[in-house]
Amino acid sequence: MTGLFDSLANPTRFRTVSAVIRPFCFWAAAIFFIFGLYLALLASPPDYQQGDAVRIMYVHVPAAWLGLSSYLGLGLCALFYVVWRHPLANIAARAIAPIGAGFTALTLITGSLWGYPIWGTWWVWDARLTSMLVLLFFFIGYIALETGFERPERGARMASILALVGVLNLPIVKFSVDWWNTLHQPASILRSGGMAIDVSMLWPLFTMFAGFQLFFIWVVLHRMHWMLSERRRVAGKARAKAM
Amino acid sequence: MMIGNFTLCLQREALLGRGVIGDHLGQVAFFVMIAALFPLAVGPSPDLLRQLGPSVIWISALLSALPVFDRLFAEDDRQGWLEQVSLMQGGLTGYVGARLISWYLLSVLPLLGITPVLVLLYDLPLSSLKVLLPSLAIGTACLNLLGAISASLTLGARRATLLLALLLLPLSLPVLIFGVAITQSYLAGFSFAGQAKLLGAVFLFLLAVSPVATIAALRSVLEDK
Amino acid sequence: MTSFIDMGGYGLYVWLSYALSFAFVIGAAAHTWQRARKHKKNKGLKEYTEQT
Repeated sequence: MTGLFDSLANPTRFRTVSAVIRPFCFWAAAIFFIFGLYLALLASPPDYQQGDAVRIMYVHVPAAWLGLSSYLGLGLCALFYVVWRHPLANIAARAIAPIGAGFTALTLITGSLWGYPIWGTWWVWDARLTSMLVLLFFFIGYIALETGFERPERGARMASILALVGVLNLPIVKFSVDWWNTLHQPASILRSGGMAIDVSMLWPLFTMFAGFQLFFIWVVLHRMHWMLSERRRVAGKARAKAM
Repeated sequence: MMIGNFTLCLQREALLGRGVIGDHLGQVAFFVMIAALFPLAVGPSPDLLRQLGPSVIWISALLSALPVFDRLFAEDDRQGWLEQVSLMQGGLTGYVGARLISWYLLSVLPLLGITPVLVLLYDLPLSSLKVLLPSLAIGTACLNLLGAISASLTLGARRATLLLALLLLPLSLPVLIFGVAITQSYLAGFSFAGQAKLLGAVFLFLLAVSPVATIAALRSVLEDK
Repeated sequence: MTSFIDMGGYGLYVWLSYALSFAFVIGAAAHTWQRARKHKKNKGLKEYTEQT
């Protein structure tokens, strides 16, 4: 396993590998999106209780999955950077962070848009939405720390430590929010996603998720590509100045 | 060797403590001021205040700690003591340990001392202190451990104080949630044992994680020099 | 057709959700392409694709 990451540590080899993966991800994402949209908006049935509003789930849930998994990915990159000093790890982390934050924000916004017609309120402090809000704060803190220093390498190192601390704390925060939510259970039981998922709903869900996931990989690899170029260019300038 | 360095750092803390007590008294003043703001904002209804009391006290404790945390390591970094201490074997560990202990004592003792006043301000029964004070003591310890992580990570950053708060607040949510729940359970007549155990677990977790992260961050700072 | 847009009364929320989701997707893609193009311009296409 480490052999795989070692082989990708070489930026040239990374570029060659990513140059193959990227177009594949792009077109696969496009296909999954087309099918996903067809299934989500046309071919799947409306919910027995929520009607057509349930279709929001097909963007809301994948966004939530991606927000969470990208934070874990951030933690993984941080681990590789802090422990093994993998040269591409902090580039990957910088590439992932804003995209992950964006998906988390998207989760909250689509959650509100879903909640308002169903629950009658734009925001509800249920465990899931609250946890997502805290995750967004984690992302914002990470990005702020990463960009908060005069020297980018310092920011990268500190942000990596923060990401590791965050990943360790995340289960605890999630648990405490869940716990807090059950403690303060409102009088009306809110069925936030408590509905049984029918098979006919799983297909659009997974297709849309696949589309978003492939898009995520594509955009992160693409970002890493120009970040590596940027790093090269800056290093080249510094070398030229030194001479 | 490590114990020797630790004692050395502790002695240094004791000597310097008298100089920085002003910071911590300011923190306590801030603590009281925040707690005094709430009734002015929500109205003086005793029922409402009694309900809000434990939450307000915990939030005030959290917020009042924020403006002073960036002083945790900054002075020593600026004076070059961090570099000195890192050259000693096990120096940083001893330093961080001593720093946290002295910071804790200087911040928690005045805070706990003034809490009974707040209990009276919010018309809470004085008997609640037997739950509130220990839970605040552990909660403050947790916040200090989180503050150490945040302070070391933001050392030398632009807008360090703001950044520190941004990092600290989401991480401190479990402390807030479980800490408040202990006193609220007590006041409602329920058992608070479970909540206390949860807060204790968070404390132990932070006790393990915080020094490691803090020392890693401080080493990172020193590498740049 | 109108029932498709109407989405059982929830049209505004459903379409707004999808619009925002894909605005994000397309926006991120466009931003990435723009950055990549800027770098290609600065370095020259050959160098951009071949350099380490």
